Amino acid sequence: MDTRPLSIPVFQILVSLSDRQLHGYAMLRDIKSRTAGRVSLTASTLYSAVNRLLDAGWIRESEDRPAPELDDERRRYFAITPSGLEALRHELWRMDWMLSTVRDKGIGPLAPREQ
Amino acid sequence: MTVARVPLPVRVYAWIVRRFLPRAFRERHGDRLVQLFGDNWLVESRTRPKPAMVALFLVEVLALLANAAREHVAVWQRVSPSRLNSSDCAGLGERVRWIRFLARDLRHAARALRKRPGFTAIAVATVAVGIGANTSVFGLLHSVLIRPLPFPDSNRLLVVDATAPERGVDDMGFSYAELLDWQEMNREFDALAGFYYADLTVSGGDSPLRLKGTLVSANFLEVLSVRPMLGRGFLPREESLHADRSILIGEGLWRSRFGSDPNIVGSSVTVGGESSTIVGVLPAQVTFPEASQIWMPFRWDPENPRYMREARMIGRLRPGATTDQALTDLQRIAALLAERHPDTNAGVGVRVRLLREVVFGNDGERILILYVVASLVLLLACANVASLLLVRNDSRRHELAIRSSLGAGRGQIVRLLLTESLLMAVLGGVLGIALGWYGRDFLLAIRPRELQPLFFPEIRPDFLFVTVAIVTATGVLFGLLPSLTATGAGSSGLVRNTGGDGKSGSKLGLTLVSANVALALTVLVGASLMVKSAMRHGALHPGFDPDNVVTLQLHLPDADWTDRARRRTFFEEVLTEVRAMPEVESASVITELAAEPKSQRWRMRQEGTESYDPREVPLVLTDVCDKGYFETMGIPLLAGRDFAGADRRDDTPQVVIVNVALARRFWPGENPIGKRIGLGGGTPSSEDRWYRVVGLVGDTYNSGWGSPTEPQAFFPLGKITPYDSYFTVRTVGNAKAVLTAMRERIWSVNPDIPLSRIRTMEQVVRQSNWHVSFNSWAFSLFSVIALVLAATGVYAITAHTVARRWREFAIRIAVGACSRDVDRLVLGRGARALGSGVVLGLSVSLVGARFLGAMLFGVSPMDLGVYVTSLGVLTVVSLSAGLVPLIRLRRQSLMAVLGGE
Repeated sequence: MDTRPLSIPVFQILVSLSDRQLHGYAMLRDIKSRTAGRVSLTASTLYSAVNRLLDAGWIRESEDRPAPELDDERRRYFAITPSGLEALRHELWRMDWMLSTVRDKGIGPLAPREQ
Repeated sequence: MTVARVPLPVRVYAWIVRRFLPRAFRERHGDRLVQLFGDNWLVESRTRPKPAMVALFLVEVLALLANAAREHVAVWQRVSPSRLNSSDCAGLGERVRWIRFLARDLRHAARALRKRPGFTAIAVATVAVGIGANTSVFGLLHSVLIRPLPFPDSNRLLVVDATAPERGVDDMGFSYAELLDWQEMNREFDALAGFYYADLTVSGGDSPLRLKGTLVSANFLEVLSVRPMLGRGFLPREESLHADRSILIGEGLWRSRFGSDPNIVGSSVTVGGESSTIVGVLPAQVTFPEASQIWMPFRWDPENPRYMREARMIGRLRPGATTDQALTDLQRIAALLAERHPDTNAGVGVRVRLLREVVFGNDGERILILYVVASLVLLLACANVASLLLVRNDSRRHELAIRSSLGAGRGQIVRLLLTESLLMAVLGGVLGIALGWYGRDFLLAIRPRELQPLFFPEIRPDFLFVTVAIVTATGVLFGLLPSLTATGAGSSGLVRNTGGDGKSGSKLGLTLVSANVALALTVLVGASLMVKSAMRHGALHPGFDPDNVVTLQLHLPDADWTDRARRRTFFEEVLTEVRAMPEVESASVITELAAEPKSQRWRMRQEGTESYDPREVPLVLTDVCDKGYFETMGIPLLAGRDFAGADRRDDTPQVVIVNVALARRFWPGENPIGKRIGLGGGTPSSEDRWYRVVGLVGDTYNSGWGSPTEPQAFFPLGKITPYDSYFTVRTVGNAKAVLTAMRERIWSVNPDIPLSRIRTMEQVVRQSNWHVSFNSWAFSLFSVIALVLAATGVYAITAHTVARRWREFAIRIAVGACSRDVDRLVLGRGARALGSGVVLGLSVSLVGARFLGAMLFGVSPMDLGVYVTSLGVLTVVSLSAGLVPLIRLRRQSLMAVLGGE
């Protein structure tokens, strides 16, 4: 199995789309709020990552749109694909595996105050 | 949403998206990317303050540019089919790929540069000259204007001087009583300290050492916020008259004289004939106020009268206070003191300057001008290399066409060409920094050694950062336009190798000719004005004849030489011996050298002014000299007589020799010989304060080169006998041999006497106005560089035009046009470009020259001669450069050109 990590934008976009469909701005907001502002993507970084994810077939443009009164027709919605979900789960496995490689050493993560 | 309502940042962002993103990406995401940025902008701008929005914009734009570059690479990667594996989304893999592609680009570029070594050499040399000029001057600029002085918060350090505006004095000192008043009454300074320059002698060891030293208030380290590297600073009680002597020494002195002894603190040395205890060592960068190596506390006598003004003041502003507030507060104190002590403080004002200004004076302004010129030279070098590249890319059209037909997109070719120019910029930059390093040494060599040690450029990270930025900008600047042009023409034209119509290329070429000419003209005019001003300055007659005069400074250690008769005998003995030497034409002694800054000013008034205001008694530059001084220095004796041996004796009448400026001030239109001068501001009651004028001598520049001569009075050695003085000797033979002999004669009389500053008078003159030679050298160099660059630029473009239209010209000639028609065709367009360059250059020069105004001496910023000469030389050089390719065209046989058809 590939043990190289996903880049932060790619990982966060996959996480954002894992349970719903979102448009670009909503993804920015979702990432920012989920990470308490620690990950704040620029517009171009987001779309650069989206472009690569589309190319890789990990996400797709969604045809389903919200109810017309809630919809903004300029917006484009993205959804995760089965291979995207698999890649995300593979990444989670990888993180878990990475942690397992240190557990025996008896060191734990930083407590919040130390960060 | 109408266009007008889109905020400017969003429009800029959209423009960048349109210009810089690869087409595929742009078509797929461009609109939504801009929309996303715009939405985010609107939301954020409701809550964030303006500066934060500016920061946000910068971050977004930089990220956009970085992502654009990344997407371009991705487009390129698409050529290789393996790219769509899953690790494409992995950051690490991408970074490796980036480096791989960069390496490939660099390999291509290096190969391309190697293939044309001549071109590469010229282009790299041009960049090197531009960057070298820029970095060496930037080094100076950095040390003078940007680098902070070596004290914490150094922009809070102010030097305070007392002034007497009515008497035109702006560097009067403060007396002890005044210093206490100012320390007590001011509200804007955390601390105020007094200081006073004093050369000090350290004796013992092999030979006595004369050093630049400073007398200071005990709190001066507190003002500077400096800690000694060893030991401690001064204590308040050490300021008192009867305290034991304590001194601080500089790290340099500690290393050189005391062998870096870590236990130096507490040991004693003899300074100025008195045993003193070293209480601390200051770090090397502290040379306050100027090149000082030894510091001693003031020894104030509380009985000193208020008018004994010796000390200057330096203060540290309290946090948040401004210079203006400080000045207002000090003026308030000056007014209060004038009320309390009308006899001594009426009419005494105050001025404050940043320590930086005091340390560097005008140098900052001067170097800023030099830097502007150096930057123009760098721009010129860029325009020049752009011209060369245009030509080079032209001769590579075939290669580029093949690349293009093999599937390379425009972006790829532009990237390749840009990599090449960046590589050249880096090579040129490395060479240029080396050149700049030598240039710096060269600049330092012009600078006299005694000047500010702070005025010493060093390599520092921020400086390197700027240089790297300049190199990169240079590469992009001279590489971008030609590469875009090279790839702009249709590829079918490229493959056929017919040169197309060459319109876009030649239009750019003509623009570059204009730019070359305009920049060169601006540099030429500015530099010529500065050179002419320096020459005017240098051509000034100093009022004396420095040729074949040598000088050395001598100091009689105060403690051992308190007896005036002993000092007088010493001078008489040494002078008699020196004058007897066969190589010596004449010799004498003076307290302060001509052409050097003077510090001794005494109050004097002419006889016959019975009622006067003490404030109006003028301060007159005062020197003490022996007979033969004016002859030795070649200062003309205009009337009366020189001092005689008898004038030294106490039982002869008191006499004085004055300069023309003093005679004009005291007795306008009258013969000064026989008139009397009274010393001191009070009523000169006793006879011994009156001196009769026996001689009138010519003026010298005694208050700065080129400034009006100040009134000056010379008193005979003997009645007044100084501790410090300069021997001046006019020689007929080898000056060095004379100096060695003199040194031995003096040491044979007394081996403990420190001698220093052994120089020829020419060196003295050079050192005192070093910026004149500095300016002439630096600006002349820049003019020559500008001319050469303009010539190669114009040559390159003409050659380019001729080469592009080679076949067309050949055909024209074949069907009957004479070669003169072709010349006219080429020269006509060239002349128009030259003309617009000249107009542009002249306008920029005329505007720019106004800023030079204050720095120019004896030259108007609109000096017609300078403009006409610069214009003439540039036109001749450009036209000649433009003619060369035409002459070569004429030599070429028609058949050779058309042979390919």
